[in-house]
Amino acid sequence: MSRRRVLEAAGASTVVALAGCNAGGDGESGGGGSLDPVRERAEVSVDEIQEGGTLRFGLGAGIDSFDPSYSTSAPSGNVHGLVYEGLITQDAAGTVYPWLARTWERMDVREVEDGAYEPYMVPAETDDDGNLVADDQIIIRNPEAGEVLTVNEAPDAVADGTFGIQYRAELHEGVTFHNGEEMTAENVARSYEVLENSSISAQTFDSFLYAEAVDDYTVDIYGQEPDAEADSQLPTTVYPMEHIEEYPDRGADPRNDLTPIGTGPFEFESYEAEQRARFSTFDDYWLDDLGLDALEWWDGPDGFPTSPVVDEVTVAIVTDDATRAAALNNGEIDLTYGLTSDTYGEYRSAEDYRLSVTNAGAYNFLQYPVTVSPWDDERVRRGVNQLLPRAQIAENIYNGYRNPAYTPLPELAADEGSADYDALVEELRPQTEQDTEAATELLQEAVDDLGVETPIEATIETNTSDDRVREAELIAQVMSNTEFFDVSVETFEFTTFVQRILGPEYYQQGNIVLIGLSGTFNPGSFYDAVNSIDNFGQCCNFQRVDTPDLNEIATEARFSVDAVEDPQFRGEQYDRVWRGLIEQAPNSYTVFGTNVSALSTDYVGHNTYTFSSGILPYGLHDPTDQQVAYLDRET
Amino acid sequence: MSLRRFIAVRVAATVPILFGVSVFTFALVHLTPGDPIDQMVALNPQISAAEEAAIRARYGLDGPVWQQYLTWMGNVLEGDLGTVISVDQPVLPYIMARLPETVALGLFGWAIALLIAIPAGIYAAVNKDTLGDDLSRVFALSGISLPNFWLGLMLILVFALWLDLWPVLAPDRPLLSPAMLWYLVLPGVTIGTASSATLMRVMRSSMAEELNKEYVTAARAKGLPERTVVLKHVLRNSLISVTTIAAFLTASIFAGAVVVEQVFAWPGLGRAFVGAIVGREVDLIMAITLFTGVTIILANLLADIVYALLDPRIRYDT
Repeated sequence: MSRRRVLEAAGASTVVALAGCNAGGDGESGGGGSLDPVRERAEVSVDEIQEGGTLRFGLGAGIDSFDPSYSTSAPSGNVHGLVYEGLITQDAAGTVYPWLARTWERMDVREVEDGAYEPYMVPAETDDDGNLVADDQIIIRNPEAGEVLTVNEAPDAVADGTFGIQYRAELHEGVTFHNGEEMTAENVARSYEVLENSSISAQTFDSFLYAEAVDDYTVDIYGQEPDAEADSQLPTTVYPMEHIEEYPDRGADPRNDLTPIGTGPFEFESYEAEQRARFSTFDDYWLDDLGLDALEWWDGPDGFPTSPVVDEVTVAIVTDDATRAAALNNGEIDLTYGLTSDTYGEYRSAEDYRLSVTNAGAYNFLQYPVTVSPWDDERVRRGVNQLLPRAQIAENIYNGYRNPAYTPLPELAADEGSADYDALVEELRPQTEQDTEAATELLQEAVDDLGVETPIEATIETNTSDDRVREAELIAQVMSNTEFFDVSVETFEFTTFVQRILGPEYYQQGNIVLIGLSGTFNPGSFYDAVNSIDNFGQCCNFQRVDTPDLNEIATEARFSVDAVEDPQFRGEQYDRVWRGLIEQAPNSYTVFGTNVSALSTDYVGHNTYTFSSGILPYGLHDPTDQQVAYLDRET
Repeated sequence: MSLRRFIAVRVAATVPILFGVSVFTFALVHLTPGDPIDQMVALNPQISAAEEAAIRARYGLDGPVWQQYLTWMGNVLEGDLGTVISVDQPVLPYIMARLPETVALGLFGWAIALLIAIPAGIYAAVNKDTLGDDLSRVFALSGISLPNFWLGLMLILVFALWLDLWPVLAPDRPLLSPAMLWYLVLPGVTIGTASSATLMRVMRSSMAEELNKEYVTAARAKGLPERTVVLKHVLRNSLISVTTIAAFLTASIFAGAVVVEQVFAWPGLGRAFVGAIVGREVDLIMAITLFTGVTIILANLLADIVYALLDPRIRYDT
């Protein structure tokens, strides 16, 4: 079924429709049939679209870097998305589409034996903490041998056929950067150099191995292992040579007198420290020149814009939520996000404003001290899991702007993360929905077997965010209402809290942690960070959670030839992981988040992206969802 | 002692004070749990412990506190104020980019404080124990009691949202422009109110005291108009104590800027300071603290000099 985001019939300029079922891309480039996470998608008629104007976007935090290779923060991501582009893009449901790449295809996938890269490794020095270090970007470490594989040795490994996965991108011809340079395969292959040894290099070099230009418009990109997420994980931002060869280690940033240069629809104009950044339409935007038919997957209506229809974007940095809301109410900004949930009620009922809500990847979770009695008994944890009033938390504390987490996997990642998501929810919900009777039975059995004195005293620790504190208090109250627990809540300022729970001895203290994290379209992101022992002492395994059997399955579900080639197999593996997590319950996922934009009705057609880093660029223009928004005012 | 020597002695005396402030602040920041790297890795599962250690080492956050302090001090003496880790920018340009904004806001706040405090103080003193004096007391009490953030938000609510006379956000204009001057009224009033209240009470009591002195009686007996007595003779003497207080209020103006800049989305040092504390940006906290310390010391020195100029009987004495 083809998507029809844009109504070809002339009529009301904005039609609100319940999110429905959409088909995906071309089949070659990711899954399809995903549910649209946008709750009530605003749709616009092509005939009604007005061109021009300046969109004023209120950002609740500073831009820590204008260069995507130096920041993954959501606020900065909104700016990156205006200026820079990559080989692929993902719609709101996570489906991958070729973007700067005309085609994006998997060419090869192969098993990689343990030690396969060792022949290519070189000796490395060790720092005071015993970590292997090298001047060049390290790709793989072998601590036992004191050797590493760096970007210098990777080409040799690939030349010998040692790699896990190979993708090929055939690029659109005629794509130009803002500085007039034409994009070629060399730009793509060498753009990875920008990421080398940056503070976020780990996010690329944990899967990327090597990229090489085959000809002017064809590039091959290799991954270290067979990786079912490679189609979205391997591509990077594409930079011009000026950036790759001349920009120093701090990246493209006006604070360093360096202009961000990309292929995106907007050019950087100016930046006033911590106040505002300005962007204007790029006149030679490639999609304007090539037309939407250059996108092989495009099946939208004639007349759909080839680029954002506003002329300029001003990003105002307003960190105080109340001031940002006041600026929106005063007509000084058109769009913002990240306001407190108790503000939303006002906008929901206001005539001149609208809320755009999208189910997102953020989740709150309780992490139990699994190595400390009686929390080392899974029956105790499962008992608490069944006490949690998830629906009440979502509705009463978050005003409906959260979804109860009846499974550890949100709908957002359901396509890749389950063989049959509805069946999974049906199966797991009875074990996660509040059921005091079942919980009492479990807890009684556990305390009798363990000979534990009740009430068990416990503390839920969380950070000083109003909503989260209220969530912790509600959970504590529900637990204390049973004969089994006497629970208190302790709150900490965020950085203090983080340092506390990342401490190497924290897991022995017997406290329950309540914190939030954001997953991605990758189903593994809802497992690894909080359950894998590899993440103990870092984000976000604070309690030495160790579920080796599930680790093995989760690894198989992403890093195996079968997972790459057979989505059904992958989904089945993940289903086993989710079942295991409910069974062992080292964490209780409480609610999944939403992204909420508040906007003036002058800005027509806006829909909120699944991740807050994409709210601004996605809302302006995204052909994957036939998304476009325009300003309906005299400017 | 001569004025020149007096200044030299006072400037020399600032060195141990600033050293003390730096040690105290550095210790305080390090007593607070966490640093920017903790924030960086906090919610980022892809940063491993090894990478965290490497990043920490890169920014010199891996040694003992005393060693970090000595390194920092050594760098400062060479003119390197360190790095704002979250944006990977050197501290000095980061501060210099924000300094004009805070100076403008501070001066504006000052001007508003003086414009309110001096006439109101004179009026209250001249009309002592009348309804006007009582009202000035109520104003002073309110000015001191009202939290800056609340007053700022109320001003935004009334004058920006209800009456639509002011914008909420700073206009897209140069700092030195009529539009910006107009915009500065609300944050200026917010920041100046508490200071004006204090100044006004000092002005009133100082003036009231002067009005009871014999030279005032003598001046009146000579038949000088009351206006001349008050504005020419009494005001000058009253300003001596106001000058001293005004210097102290420089500190409160900066303290006010920390909150007011946040409420009015004003990109100055105060807002940077809040961000630095939240992010545990030790170099930035140290730099802004020292800068503020120097400013307050200079303000006090200036006050002493003005004090002496206003009252020739005062000798430079340490």
